[in-house]
Amino acid sequence: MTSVPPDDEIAELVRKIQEGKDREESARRLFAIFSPSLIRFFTRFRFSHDESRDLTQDVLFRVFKSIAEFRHDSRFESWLFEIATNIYRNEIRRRRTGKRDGQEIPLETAPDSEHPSGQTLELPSPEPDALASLGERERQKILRTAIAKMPPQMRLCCEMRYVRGLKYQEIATLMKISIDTVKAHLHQARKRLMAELGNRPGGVG
Amino acid sequence: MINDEKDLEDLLGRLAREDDGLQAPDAHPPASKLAAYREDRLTPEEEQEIQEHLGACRECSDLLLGLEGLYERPAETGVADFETASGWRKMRARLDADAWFEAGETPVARRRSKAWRHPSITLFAAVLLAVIGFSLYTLFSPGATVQTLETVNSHRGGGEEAVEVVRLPITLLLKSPVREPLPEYRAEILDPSDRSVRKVSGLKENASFEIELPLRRWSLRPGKYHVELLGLREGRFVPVGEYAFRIAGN
Repeated sequence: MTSVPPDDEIAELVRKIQEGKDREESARRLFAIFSPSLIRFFTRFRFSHDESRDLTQDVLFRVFKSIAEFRHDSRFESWLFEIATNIYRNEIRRRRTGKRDGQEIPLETAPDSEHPSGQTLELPSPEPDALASLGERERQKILRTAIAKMPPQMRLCCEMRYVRGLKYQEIATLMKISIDTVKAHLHQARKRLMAELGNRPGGVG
Repeated sequence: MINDEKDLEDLLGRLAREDDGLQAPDAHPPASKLAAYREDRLTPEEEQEIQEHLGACRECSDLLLGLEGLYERPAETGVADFETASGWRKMRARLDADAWFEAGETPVARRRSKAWRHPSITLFAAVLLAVIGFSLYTLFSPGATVQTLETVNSHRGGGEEAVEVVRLPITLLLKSPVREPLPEYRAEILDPSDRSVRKVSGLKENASFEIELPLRRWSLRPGKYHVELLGLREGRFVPVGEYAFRIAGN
C-alpha cells in the first residue's frame, strides 16, 4: 500500500531530479507514487491491465526524459496528466487507423456505473407495439425539451446522471460542486420533469 | 403512462440508451485546458464552455476523472507493491539504456542553475527586475484612489441615470445590496451597447460590506459603463446588483 505524499514532496522530488541530486532514488520514488494511479487512469478507458501498465511506462519514460521542461508553474499532476492524455489520444488514434498490423485489441469490460438505489438505468428493451412506441417517442420528446429548458447547472447534472449514467460523486467532481448540490439539482429536475409530463396528454397517469 | 418517479427513471434510462454514443463531440479541448479547469485557472466563460463539453463528452469526462485520481492518489489502487517494483526495474533498464542516469543535471536545469550562480549576474538581474517591477506597478496598479458605488436600477429599462465620474487607475467599492455575506462574487463590465468588455472573478466582500473592483490604468476607454455583480449562492452565481460609472476623458 502506498501512502499519499504531500504536494511539496512531489515538487521536491522533481527538483532533485532536475538538479541531478539523488536522481535514481527520486525517480524511483516518483515512479512508485504515480504508476498505480496511472495504471488506474488507463484502465478507466477499458485498456487491459497489461496494456495500461505498458502505457504507464511510456508516460513515465516521457516524463523523466523531458522533466527539465517542467517549470513548477502548475501542479506536477497537471503536467503528468497532459502527457498521459497525449499518449492516450495517440494510442486511440493509432488503433483507429489500424497501424497495429490490423490486430484486434481486446478491451476489458469496465464496471457499470451504479445507480443510487442499487439498480442500473440500463433496462431490457421490450419490443413495443406501434402505438406504444408512438407514446414513448412523444414522452421522450417532452423530456428532451424539458431538460433543454432547465438552468445550465441543473441541465448538466440531469444529462450527466440520466443520459450518461454518471455517479453523484463523478458529477460533483466534473461540475466542481458538492454532492448535496448535485442531489438537490436532480431532485428539482425530477420534480420539473414529472410536472412537465403530467401537464401533457399521455403523461403522468 | 408515467405513474411515479420509478417510471420516470425507466423512461430516462431508455432515453439514455438512445443517446449513448451519439453526442461525442469531434473537437476536444486540449489536456492543458482540462487541467486548467480542474485548477480553477479559467475564466467563467471558459469554465461554462468546458462544463457544456463535459455534459456531452464521455471521453473528456473520463479524462478529467482520471486527473482527479492523479491528484488524490488513493491508497488502494488495486496495483500491488511488487508490481510497482517490477515496473520500476523495467523503467530503470529503459532509462539506463538511454544513459539518463549518467546525464546528471538535465540540460535545461544545468544551464539555468550555472548561469545564476555568478554573483554579479544575480545582483544585476535582481536590480533590473526590481526597477522593471516598480515601473510596471506604478503604471498599472489600481492605486489608492477609491470610489464607492451604490446599486442603480436596471439600465435595460432605459432612461439616463446620474453616474459617478472616475479616473483610472481606481478601485471601485461596490456596496453590497444583499444582507447576508456571500462567499464569492464575480463582476462583468458592460459598455453602453451592453457588450461585455471585462470579467473579474474571485472577488470577496470586505468588512464594510463592499466588493472591491480594481481597474488599472488604460484598462477601459472613456465612456459610460455598467457593472453586473453576481454572487455565489447555493453553488450558483446569481445576479445581486447593478452599478454604473463613467470614465472621464483625458
